[in-house]
Amino acid sequence: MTAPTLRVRDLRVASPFTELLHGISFDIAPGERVGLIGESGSGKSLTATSVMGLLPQTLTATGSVLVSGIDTNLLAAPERRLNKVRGNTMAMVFQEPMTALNPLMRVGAQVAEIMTIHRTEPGRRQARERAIDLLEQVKLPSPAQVALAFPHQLSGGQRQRVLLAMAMANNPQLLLCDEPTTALDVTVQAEVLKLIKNLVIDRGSSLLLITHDIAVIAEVCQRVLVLHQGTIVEDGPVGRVLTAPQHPYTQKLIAASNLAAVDHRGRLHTLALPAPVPSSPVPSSVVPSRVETDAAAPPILPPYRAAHQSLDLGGLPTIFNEVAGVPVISVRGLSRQYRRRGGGLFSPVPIVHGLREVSFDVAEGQRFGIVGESGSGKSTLLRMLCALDQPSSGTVDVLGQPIAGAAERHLRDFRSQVQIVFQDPMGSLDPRMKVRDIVAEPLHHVDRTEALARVEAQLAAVGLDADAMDRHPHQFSGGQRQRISIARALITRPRVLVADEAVSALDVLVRAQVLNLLADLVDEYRLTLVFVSHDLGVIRHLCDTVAVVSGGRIVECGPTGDVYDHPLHPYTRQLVSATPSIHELTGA
Amino acid sequence: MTAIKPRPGRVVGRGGGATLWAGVVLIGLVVLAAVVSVWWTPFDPEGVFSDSILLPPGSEHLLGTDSFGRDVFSSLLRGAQISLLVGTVAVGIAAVLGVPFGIVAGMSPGRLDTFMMRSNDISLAFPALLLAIIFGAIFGAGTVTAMVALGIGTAPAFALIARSGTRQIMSREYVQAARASGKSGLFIGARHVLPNISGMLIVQASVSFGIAVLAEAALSYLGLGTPPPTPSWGRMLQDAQGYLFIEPLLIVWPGIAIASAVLGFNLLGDGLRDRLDPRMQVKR
Repeated sequence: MTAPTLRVRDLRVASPFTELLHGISFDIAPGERVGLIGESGSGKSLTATSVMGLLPQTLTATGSVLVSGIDTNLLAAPERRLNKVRGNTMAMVFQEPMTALNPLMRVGAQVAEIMTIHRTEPGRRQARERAIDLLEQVKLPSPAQVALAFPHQLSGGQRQRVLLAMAMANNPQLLLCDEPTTALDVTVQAEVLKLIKNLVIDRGSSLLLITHDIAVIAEVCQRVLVLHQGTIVEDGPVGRVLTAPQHPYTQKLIAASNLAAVDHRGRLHTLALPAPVPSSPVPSSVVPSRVETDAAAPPILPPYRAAHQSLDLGGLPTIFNEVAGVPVISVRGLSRQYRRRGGGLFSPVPIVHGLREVSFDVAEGQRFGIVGESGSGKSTLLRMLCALDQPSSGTVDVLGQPIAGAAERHLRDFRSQVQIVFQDPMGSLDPRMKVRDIVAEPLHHVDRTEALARVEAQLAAVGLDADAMDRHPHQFSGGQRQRISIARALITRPRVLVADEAVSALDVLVRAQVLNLLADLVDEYRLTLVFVSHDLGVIRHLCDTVAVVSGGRIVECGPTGDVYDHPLHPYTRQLVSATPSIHELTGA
Repeated sequence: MTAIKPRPGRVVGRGGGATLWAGVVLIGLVVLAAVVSVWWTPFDPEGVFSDSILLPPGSEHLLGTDSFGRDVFSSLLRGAQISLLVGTVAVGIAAVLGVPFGIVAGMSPGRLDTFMMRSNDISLAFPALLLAIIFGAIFGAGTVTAMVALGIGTAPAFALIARSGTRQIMSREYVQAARASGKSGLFIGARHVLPNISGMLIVQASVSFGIAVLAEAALSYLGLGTPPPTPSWGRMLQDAQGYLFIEPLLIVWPGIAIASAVLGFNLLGDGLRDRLDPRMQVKR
């Protein structure tokens, strides 16, 4: 067997307080594509930064990192030696393509710079020509013009391609990618992943791909390392690990990733935690008593089955999911335009269409998913539904009340009936407020003792202890913060819950828990759910009806299963086929 | 469903330790001097003593005497009163005027915001010291005039900071959530915006405090601040200037006092910002 491209032995990384990586060892053979998967905080990015010698000053690494052709341990190598290796023998692609590029330099020059620094091209001219060549290899249209563009003039996917061109400029033996597609849209992600795979295969480079998304690894890699709390718990070929995981953590991870596999109640499998980790005990003592819902609650309605329709090109604007009788939400001809700032002094202000002529209904008790890529208008639509923004034209009726253009004082009742859960578990809670005040915020004219009692009950309903009340949001994990958000949204007993990417920022296991919680609460409180997401899998799992949004329009709407399995609109077909999936491998 | 406890994490210490304490000690000295001098100074700092002119530092006069025979140490103690008074009142006026203005501008729709901030820019372009000189000419020089003028002159800086902070906070999801639950603008401004921009306001206040102390000294030096015979650090500098080559130490003492007060407020501001932020608690 030939010498491995990368040999990591007993790598330990420690902060002044605690050890973060507990001696991990692995090899990557020449040309091998290896995935490293783990939750946030598992140490997967630390692994990559230690290999690259980019650890922050406050952390110390011990062990050995050997790259073939270089006989020194990179952990002990001086900075000058590392500089020769980085970008040359091994290269890295980061998650956020905007911050990884210099905003004041043309991208062609940035690609050329890699070659002039390492003197792999004799002169500036040649380097510049080769840069254009590389930009073409990463499939950028009209590479000569792209080379002259600044990073902000490119889209996220294009910027990630530029980073790939930079990484591949000197034909590295090892390419490290840290969450390379997490910030990208689904369709773009599929293209970039294919590109990474092809580039690595063409050049015979090895790949270490770091991600939290098991489907991405299934798409690109041959072997997978599972990292859990600073230790590699499983190492094996992708097919074997996905179908027959050995370690309990891997089993749990794969079960939770599989949004199609549900139990008899339609809940995701969240297996019990393996032996609790000593440093963070998870008490399971108290099972909170659920809040009693109104005694005379209406019976659960049979789920409303939507008609499966797609956008009628050239014809009359379609009203999607039209409900006979009184719908909970009724949107007609909704448009929203924005004036874009800037433009020339004398040229007309460019107008951006956020939404165009959108019409749809949502029936009582329906779980309505809205799926689309960034910029599709799905967030604009959601803001209109919550009366956080005013439409340019069209009407929004919620619970029979027109809310578009209504004055705030007429919206009192509406505000308590429609509540929202946001994406960012950190940004959606005021860091200066205590949890009790955060959760009690939507309550109006409720005296303090009663408000506190309701907060306590609501926190129990989302699975949080009462002692959470006096804490600040930063003392909670992402999943717990999302539970607090949900408690805040439900405290007024709304009839409609609107969720904006409510689980997108969460780790797979936590995501499964929060999704199950949401499903439980929607049943328990008889909520009508509007769930906005870019993630088709999550929508399919949670919603009975889905609307696909693109370019400010709903292009297709119908029962979730029908839309996914028999898409009518070409865009839906593209979206469904681009979504990475582990189903083929797991046979689920 | 199992109940989940908040993430365990022992609070090891709070942010801003050493900086905060250095600031507290320096400001403490100034406050101590001001308080003590209300009841006691070694000598009368306001008279004229022809028998003890320009004495060097010694056992009787700890820091020597000035050209009127006054004890420098006593003048420094009494002068701390004026500096603290001017700093507190000027910063108070500036914050009371500037912060609500900035928050209202930051929460207002585009055009009103633009109008308010352009007017603010115009006032910002007008130096506080020049305003104080004009006020002195109109209303007569004095401590009150100086304080009010410095307060008004510093307010636009507060408005600018408050407005930019407000814009940031207004885009946060928790403000969206508050709006979605029907909270009024007043509530959002008071409960969400103000607490979250308080960190930068405290820093601005402490820096302005230092600047006000400095400006008062400058005004007194120009003869537009505190009138004689009340001692002020600025006028001590002015008096000492004439004897720069005879008794250079005279200029050093008020200089040290001013410098340590300004430094103290800056350190205090930095330290407070870290300490008051619940996120800055050092955890392990």
